[in-house]
Amino acid sequence: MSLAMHMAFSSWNWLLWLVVLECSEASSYENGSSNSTAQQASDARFAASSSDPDKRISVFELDYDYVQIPYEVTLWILLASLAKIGFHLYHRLPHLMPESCLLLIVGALVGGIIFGTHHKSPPVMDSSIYFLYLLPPIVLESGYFMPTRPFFENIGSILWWAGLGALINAFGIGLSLYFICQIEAFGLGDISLLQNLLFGSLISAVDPVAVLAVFEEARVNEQLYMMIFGEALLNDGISVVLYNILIAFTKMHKFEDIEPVDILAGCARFVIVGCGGVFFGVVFGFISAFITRFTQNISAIEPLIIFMFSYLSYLAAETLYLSGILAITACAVTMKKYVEENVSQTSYTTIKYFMKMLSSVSETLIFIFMGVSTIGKNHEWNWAFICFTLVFCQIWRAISVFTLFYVCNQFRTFPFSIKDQFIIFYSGVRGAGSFSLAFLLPLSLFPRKKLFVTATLVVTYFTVFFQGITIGPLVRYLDVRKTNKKESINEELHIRLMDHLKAGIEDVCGQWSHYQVRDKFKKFDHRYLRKILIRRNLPKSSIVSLYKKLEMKQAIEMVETGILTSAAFPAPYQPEKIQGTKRLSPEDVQSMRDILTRNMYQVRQRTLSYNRYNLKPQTSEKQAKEILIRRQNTLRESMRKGQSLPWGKPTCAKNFRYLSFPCSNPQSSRRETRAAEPTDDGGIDPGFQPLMFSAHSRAASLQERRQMQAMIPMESLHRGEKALSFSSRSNSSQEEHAGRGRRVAIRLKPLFYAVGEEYECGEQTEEEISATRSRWIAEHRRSREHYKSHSPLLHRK
Amino acid sequence: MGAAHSASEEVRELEGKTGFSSDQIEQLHRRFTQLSGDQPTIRKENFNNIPDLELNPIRSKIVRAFFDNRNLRKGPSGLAEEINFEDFLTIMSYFRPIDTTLGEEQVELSRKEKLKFLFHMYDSDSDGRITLEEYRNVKWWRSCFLETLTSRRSQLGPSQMEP
Repeated sequence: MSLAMHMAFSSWNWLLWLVVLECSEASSYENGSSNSTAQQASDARFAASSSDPDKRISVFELDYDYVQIPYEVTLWILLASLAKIGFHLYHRLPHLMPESCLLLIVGALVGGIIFGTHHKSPPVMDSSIYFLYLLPPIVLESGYFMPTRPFFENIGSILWWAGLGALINAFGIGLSLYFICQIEAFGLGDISLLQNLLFGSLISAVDPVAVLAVFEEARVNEQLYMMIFGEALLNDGISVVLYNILIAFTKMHKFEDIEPVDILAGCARFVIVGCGGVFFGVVFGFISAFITRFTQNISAIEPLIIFMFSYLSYLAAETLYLSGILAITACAVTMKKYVEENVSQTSYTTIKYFMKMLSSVSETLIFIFMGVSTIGKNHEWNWAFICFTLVFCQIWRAISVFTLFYVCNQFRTFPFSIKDQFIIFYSGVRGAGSFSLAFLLPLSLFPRKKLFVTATLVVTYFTVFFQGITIGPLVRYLDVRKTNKKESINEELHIRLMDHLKAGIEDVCGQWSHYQVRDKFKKFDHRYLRKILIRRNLPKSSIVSLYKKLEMKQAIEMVETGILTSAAFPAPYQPEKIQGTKRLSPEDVQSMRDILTRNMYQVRQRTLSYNRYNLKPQTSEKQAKEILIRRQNTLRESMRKGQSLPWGKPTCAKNFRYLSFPCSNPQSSRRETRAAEPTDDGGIDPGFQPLMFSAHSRAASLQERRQMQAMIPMESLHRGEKALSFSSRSNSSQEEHAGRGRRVAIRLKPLFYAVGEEYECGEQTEEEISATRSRWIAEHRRSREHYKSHSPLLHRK
Repeated sequence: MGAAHSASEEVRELEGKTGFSSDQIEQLHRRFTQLSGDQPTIRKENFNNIPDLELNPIRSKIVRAFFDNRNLRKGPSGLAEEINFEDFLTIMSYFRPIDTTLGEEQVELSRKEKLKFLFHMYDSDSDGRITLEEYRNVKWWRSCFLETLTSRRSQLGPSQMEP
């Protein structure tokens, strides 16, 4: 409780700090001259200095107009960033409301101050700046971070939903508002059909991704996630295309002159604009992927190439009046796969972070501008229009969601439940897009522009605050409603097992690749595209990912061969006693739960996680990190116990090493480890040889260029283990021998030697081991020059 | 013409045995040939070609389940060396959603089949019982089971597994 209060107080501190900052801003506004633009000011400055030779040199001067625009823009961005810091300090807040809320509040605050000080806000937002500078980063970021595989699997549904949904919404809202405008009482008679349609198209631009962070921890299934993401991705593009077409119509004729031919031309143009944009994007994506193939020596310009080519695709498409948004999206999607493999690790990270940063800046600016416009004199309030806009937005969204998904479900293998559809409906939160389009309406064609802007603002505020804040509890309510009781430990474990089983069977039946088109594309990709677009030589950074993969597989094999047991509990084991069932105390249950969550590997997440404002590590990275950390823990423990040569001593006394569980208690577990011998019979006997083959094939299944590298440790391992299998003493069972050989192989497999496991009464003498080890070291040294970056790995112990 | 005819007869036969539709059988056949490398049978090694499966902690149990004679309905115990397409479909049919239109009895039967599949996964020595040992042998949650099992000893037979 006190921690929460402390957090609340510190966030209050941040708010106070913000207010102070803004007051300083306001005071600096008042110091500057109020009505001149920066350009005039700079001219004046230079002119003044040359035309006043008699003026004394003043020691201290203030020239605000020179820096006004960049200064204010920077202050705005900084302000928003500080607000975000404060927002995230109180860690429960991001789950309560989307960040758009925060940005709106900050914008309104800034707007209030600017209004209060009668200052003319800098002309940050006009049509060209928005479309040329502010919009591309946002779209690029959403295209780049889109998970491609689920997207393409659901592409039919996504296109159907996003495309038709936008159209239905736009025309539905436009037409309904037109009928409302026809009613004399509201005084809206001068708004023509075309203007209403235009308004409908811009108000239907939703930004549902903004709310994703709010219900992220609720288990949103992948399909739902993909639909929301896909809609956000394509929605902006479609709205802008529609907007432009309708503006062209408005400019072109009066309403009465528009013939059916024009409408058909409009539809054709819609299609051409969309497809043309995508085509441009794909072409530019391939070009940039190809170029990154050659940049290994100057990796510092890799991010530059990526960004410039994406931006170029946008501009090239815009030149031809094609859809730049769709172009840049397609470019990001296309080049992502190849670029990720070609660029160095640091470039990759740079690209990701820079993209997030740019899009964050753009969005912040737009929202702040929205806030600034809110508090100002350029409003026109009309109760009827605004209320009906709100109502119709919700109604038409509901209509489009439920009808389109009803149709869509007929063709899907995983139909969307009503609950999913409701969530999609409710996540129709407006964002920066619709406001920008409204703001940029040309006043000459739209005399009632202010009304539109006001209505857009109201809808945006309403949806962001009301829907954004309530969607979290709603989703949790919908989700939790079915499973009210807390599950017992047994159930949890079984559920986990079944999740893993399901995931495994999915992989076996190749669920994700049962589309022929996708298979064909993959083949084409492998045979032609990859050869052209991906670098031949191995970049050093791939070592890390290779290492991670090997680590993970190794950990899993360890589990399977039964090396792992643990006594996380200090209680000694009594196998033979038959006891009645004993109730576990709640503390025991809780501690078991804690151990469960700490010690179990995560089931491969079918649910994705995307946060627009933050980069979270991927699940596989997390899992790899988990393994690494546990490894380090156990190694540290083994070091602490004074073992320098991990496998030197005869190990009858010591039994199993606990590689996956940090707290190990060898004494009590010794008995039951003997008692419970690994009986993974199915896996071991034929498994030994195939293990090496599978290791080979696994290496081959990574990209071809990694094969060179992977082969080398595998070969040396192969040689190493052959030596061991010859020199090991005869054992009681073939299984044990094979098992031990396998374990030894595993032992040698990691790219660093320090694995502190011992096995049951080892018969391998020190000389044998060190002989093998030195052989392996010798071979390894030979191959060392292949990967210099290996050395940090080798030296960890 | 004759070959196509007999192929579709086979498909129909398989449909009847396993309950998959002909489209699904086609897809699974494609997957089968992909996994087996155009051979008529699959062995355990072929499952190593599936990259995502490598990361699954219970991979070996899953692979083993494919070759388990009890799941293949070929015997009370033991493992087959290789399986053909029909066996593959048999195993896959355990994972079909239960067709609720078939009637109460069929639904119950399907449920029992699925439960038996799970039971066979636990019961590694095929004696029809899950002992404490076997329960614990589902290796990777061994530690977590420890305390649970010392307090609740359980020995389940197949008859007790029925809902």
